[in-house]
Amino acid sequence: MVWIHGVTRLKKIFKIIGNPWKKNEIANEKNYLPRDILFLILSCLSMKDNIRASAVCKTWHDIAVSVRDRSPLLVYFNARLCQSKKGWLLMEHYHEGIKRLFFFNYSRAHNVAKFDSNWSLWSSRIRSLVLLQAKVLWCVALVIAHHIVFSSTPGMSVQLNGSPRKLGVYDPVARTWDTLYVPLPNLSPYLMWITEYQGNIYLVDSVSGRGQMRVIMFRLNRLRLVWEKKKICDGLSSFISDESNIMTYGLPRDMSDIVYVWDSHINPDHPVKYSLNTRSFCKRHDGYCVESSNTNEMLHYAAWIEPPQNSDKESDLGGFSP
Amino acid sequence: MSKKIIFESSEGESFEVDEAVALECQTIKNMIEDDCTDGGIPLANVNSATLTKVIDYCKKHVEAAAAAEANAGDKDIYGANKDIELKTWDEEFVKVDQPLLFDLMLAANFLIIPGLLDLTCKTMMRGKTVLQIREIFHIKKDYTDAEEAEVRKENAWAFE
Repeated sequence: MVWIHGVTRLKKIFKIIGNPWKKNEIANEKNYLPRDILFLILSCLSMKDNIRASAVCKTWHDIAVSVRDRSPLLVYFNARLCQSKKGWLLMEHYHEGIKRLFFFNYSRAHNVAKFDSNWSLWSSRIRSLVLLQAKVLWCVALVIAHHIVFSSTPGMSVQLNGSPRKLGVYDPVARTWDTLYVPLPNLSPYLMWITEYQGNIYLVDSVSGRGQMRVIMFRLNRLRLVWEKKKICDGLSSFISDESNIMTYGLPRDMSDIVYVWDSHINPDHPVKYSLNTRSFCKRHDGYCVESSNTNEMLHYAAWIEPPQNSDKESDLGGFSP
Repeated sequence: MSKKIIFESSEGESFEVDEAVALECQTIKNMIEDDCTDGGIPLANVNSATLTKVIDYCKKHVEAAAAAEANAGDKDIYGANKDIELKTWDEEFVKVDQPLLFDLMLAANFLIIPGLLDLTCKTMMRGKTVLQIREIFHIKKDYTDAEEAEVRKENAWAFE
């Protein structure tokens, strides 16, 4: 009975699907795209193709914007990138032996020297700048082994002597560096990153032992000035690389409490995905979008960037103006 | 011997495939679970040329999955890197003309083959300019020049 029912039902389904299909076949000769098919196609595209498709016509625009991916993109750059935030990239540029930092707005593809002072920054091992989402733009630099040098005005430089216990905080409005003494947890010598979400500063550390690598997350308690170990990450998704660290909230469930790591030491081919819940690397490493890949040389400058937003206001640096 | 499933294309041509291959199509999987595939499955909206390609795709992916299973012990802790060969194969697979690509996409949508659907959709749009897309799909621009310029300006990097 079930069998007969199944056949009848399926024949019915095929009959139903078959008819509009025939119409499609006719339309197909002109490559006509029904709305549901268009929706499907636009859902599969890379960010670049999605944006390009949005310029085709108004219908395509509405669908393209509605299916646009909200997870960060991994982009390969041919210039050194320090950090990205809200559509802005903080980039390094060598000129006459001096590194200059400048802002670049990738969604509008133009350079904006938002900082009127040229400050250069060196760090032998870890260079982590965190632009806090606040009225005041802060940069946090973790001083690990050597030292950080910066010059707030050309021709003058100040040195923060290296000690593995310091956290340098730069306030661009007052143009001062502050040094916070925060004992670091027992960290691995190389692979660690600093990241930020809504004013909270996180430290992501990779620990290897017994042939396995684990990722541990700490959050800075700014009142007590200690790093607190986090078992899970409050549903946040963390995207880290040497060049950029992004934390995002509200991604699909299988992307929450996940740390995506792009690091050529861990894996030169693609970013790895670590689940804080299961404390292991995920077999499937999906959930990120690689925007462009080129030669291995370029891979050194791979950085996570937040996807383009739909609103222009999002490109503002949290109200910051120079 | 493994069970065989028979597909019938829109031209009435029969294609015999292993059940494992047919199971790659979610639509067919449902039918097999309902046990109603005897006497062949008529696919009135998939022509022979498209069906041949679809079967090629499913076969390859079943083989690749079996090979990956056999080598499961070799996997590194970050997951398999062995899908590169399959990716290359996929790229070659979709090097077909636009009408066939379109048919493949419709077939993947109808038979519910997520991998093939994703592949064909991506390929259809990859690297195409706005003008090319309009030409291929016969779309009339309903933006004013100013409106279109605004859309392009918002994310200028994508149009370089």
